[in-house]
Amino acid sequence: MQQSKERNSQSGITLIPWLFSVLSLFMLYSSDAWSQGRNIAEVDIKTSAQCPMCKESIEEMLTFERGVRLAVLDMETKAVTVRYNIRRTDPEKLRKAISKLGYDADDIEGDSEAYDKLPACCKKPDDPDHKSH
Amino acid sequence: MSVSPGLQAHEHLKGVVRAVAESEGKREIQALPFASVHWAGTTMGMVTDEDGNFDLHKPDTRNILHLVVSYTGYTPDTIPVLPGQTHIEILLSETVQLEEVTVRRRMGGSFISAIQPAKTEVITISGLQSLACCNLSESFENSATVDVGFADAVSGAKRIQMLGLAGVYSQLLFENLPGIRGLSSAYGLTYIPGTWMESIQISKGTSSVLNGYESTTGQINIEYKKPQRSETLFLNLFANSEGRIEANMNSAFELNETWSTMLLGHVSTQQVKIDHNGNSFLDVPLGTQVNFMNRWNHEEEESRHIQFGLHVLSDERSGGQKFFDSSADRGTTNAYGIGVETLRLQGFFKAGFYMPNTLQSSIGIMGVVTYHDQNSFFGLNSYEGQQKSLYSNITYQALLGSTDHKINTGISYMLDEYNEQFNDTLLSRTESVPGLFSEYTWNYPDRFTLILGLRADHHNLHDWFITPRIHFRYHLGENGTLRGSAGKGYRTANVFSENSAIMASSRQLIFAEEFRAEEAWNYGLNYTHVIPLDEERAITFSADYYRTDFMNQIVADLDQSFSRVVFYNLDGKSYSNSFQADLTVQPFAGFEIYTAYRLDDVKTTINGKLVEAPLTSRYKGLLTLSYATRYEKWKFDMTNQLNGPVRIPDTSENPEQYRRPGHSPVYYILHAQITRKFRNMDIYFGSENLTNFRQHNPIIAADDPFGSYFDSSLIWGPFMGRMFYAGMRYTFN
Repeated sequence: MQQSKERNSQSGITLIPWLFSVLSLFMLYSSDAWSQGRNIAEVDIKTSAQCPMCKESIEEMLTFERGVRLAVLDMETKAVTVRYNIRRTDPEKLRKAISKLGYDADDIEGDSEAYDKLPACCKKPDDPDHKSH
Repeated sequence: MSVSPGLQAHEHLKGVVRAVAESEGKREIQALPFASVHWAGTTMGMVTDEDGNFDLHKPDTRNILHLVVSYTGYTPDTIPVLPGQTHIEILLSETVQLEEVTVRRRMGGSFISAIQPAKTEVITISGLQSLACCNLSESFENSATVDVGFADAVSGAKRIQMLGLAGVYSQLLFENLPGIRGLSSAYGLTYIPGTWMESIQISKGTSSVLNGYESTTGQINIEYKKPQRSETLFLNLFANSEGRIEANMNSAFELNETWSTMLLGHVSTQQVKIDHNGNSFLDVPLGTQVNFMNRWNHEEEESRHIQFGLHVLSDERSGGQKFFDSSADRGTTNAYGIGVETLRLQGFFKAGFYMPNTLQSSIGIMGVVTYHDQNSFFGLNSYEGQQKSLYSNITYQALLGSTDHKINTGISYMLDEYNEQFNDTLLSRTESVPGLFSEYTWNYPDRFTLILGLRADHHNLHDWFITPRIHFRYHLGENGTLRGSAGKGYRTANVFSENSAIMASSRQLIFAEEFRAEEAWNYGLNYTHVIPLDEERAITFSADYYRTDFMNQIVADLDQSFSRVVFYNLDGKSYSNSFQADLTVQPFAGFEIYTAYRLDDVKTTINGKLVEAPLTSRYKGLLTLSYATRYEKWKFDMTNQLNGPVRIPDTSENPEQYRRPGHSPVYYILHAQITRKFRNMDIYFGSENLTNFRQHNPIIAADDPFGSYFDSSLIWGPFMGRMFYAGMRYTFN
């Protein structure tokens, strides 16, 4: 009994560095260095985002889109930078996904039904329903 | 782009609702999502979006209109809107109620609320989801405030401690109604499925007199998911390496603008016999729990709010020696077995009415009816218990002149009927307690809050309970908050359910005298300091000290002799000193480190001597690391616990092989979990007790369970070893 206890606590001690290595491997995996040459590409898509709320909903939607690693929207340029796996998705699919949410994506106009449901601050500035913060 | 024709902009009122709230531990004015706004005297209204925005059609464009804005935890407000006005900004002031805390989307697993006059630690859905978290008893692993452990080595019963004192000295509420008390204190923590909960609020020290006289060391309030803001369908499946399988679901429907309803269901089962330590006893009892709730919500114009529901639970467990066969061996000494069957029904009702024209005053009525029936045996011991309870109160709330002075006053009634039988001992009692209470709150905006409370309850067996309580909160500078509380608490002991573990031992139960009510004073002071780093990150430090002094306590004396447990009223001193310090740091976005240390000094007069309270840890250290990628697509959680030694009741009279050391060793525990989120689904995988630490030989005399030394109640650590689990959550909106 006593022996097994010692063995157990030893395996416990070796587990902690193991856990940390899993974590650091993951961080490496999601980092730039790893992405290069591994079917990972980046694309900038211009959107009709108006406020931080639109930024958040576009980023969040893209984050859970198939093949997407990272999506960051710049409020200055209104362009969302998407890092994705070229074997799982392509820029056209990403644009369609943004449009489905009610926002324009490059040349594709936002889905009008979805647009109507957008919060006031995400409506376009020339829309009388728009309200900025 | 399409705009509905005919709706001109000036016929709309757009606006934003804000309130002082916390963001990453920082007090600031924030948008209030899901606040309710509607036109007074109509049913026209809506809920604000995630940025606190709303956009309402004006029913009348020529006259002054009144807009009613409300949100749980904040004082509702009515604001005049002028003809032609198209835009409005509303700032709600916080209601200085003790318990209500808003739950916001996306935040750390737990936080300390700066809004509450009492220091309140809130465990959020995200915190609940970072642990295996099958039920309430497993929800406190990331909290240094509440300790959870097994009560005995055979029944799976869990017990909690706060401030180093048994969980029964803190009050367990659901939505501010009495939850787990009386007979359910033995197994009740396993009756609340983790996925049913929206949040858990933990406050230390005595709490508001509005909720009764029972909370001495603190209060744990559980908020279940609400029909008006829950998923259309939520499913959760879980399985672990010990053979436990669990399924949870909840589903909410909005019937119309004012009515919504929700179904919550839970089934869990353990069918695999596990005996890791080879002592012939099952480590986990076999059994099945079926749990169901239906609740309704009705919200109407002028802020009438009615909620009611029904909770039904059936729980059966059987354990003991793995070759025990209930039909052949029960009542014999062939093999040792236990069996516990529980049926529990609970109905609750809550209603709030705002007085017409004076929207600042309101009447709240709440009630809960509980039927609890337990049938059990432990070896040759048998126990049957039945409890019928009723609790109800009516509270009137009014402002005195301005929102800075508020009074809550009301009446309550509590009825408990207990019928218990342990072997040949019959115990029945009826407690009938009408009470009066009043609480005055003085709020000096952004500086301090003072709450004075007093209640008087007349107990049919114990005469008058007079309960004075005081709370204050004081803001020190921009980032510091100092809080204090002092007050009294009472309760009546239920020796069987509170000491259910002793039934699974050879000890004889001896009631030395008539029990008086338990009575204690509690005093505490705490300080919280927040250093904002940037918009998303902050360093939060907090330290607190609480002292509890018992005037009377029902002492369970395990030290006198191995063969008995003697219950008597406290004769001498009994106290607890508890000191805790917490530090939360976010080194970079998405990464949070929480560390806490707690030091307890708990002493009770047992058998004429002031000694360290048994099975109470002297200290606890906690370190949790949590890392989430953007939008929590991936989440990593890790909990490290260091548990200090506990005093083990005297076993020196036992034969050598049945003796235990005077104190348990210090031990370390590790839990870890990885969660991957998809659009409608989460998948998680993790391990509890990853380092496989175990209390060896948790049962004394496991080889002779019908002999005079058998005892499975001296438990201080995990005895089940490493456990892996995996689960999925599916959400459909």
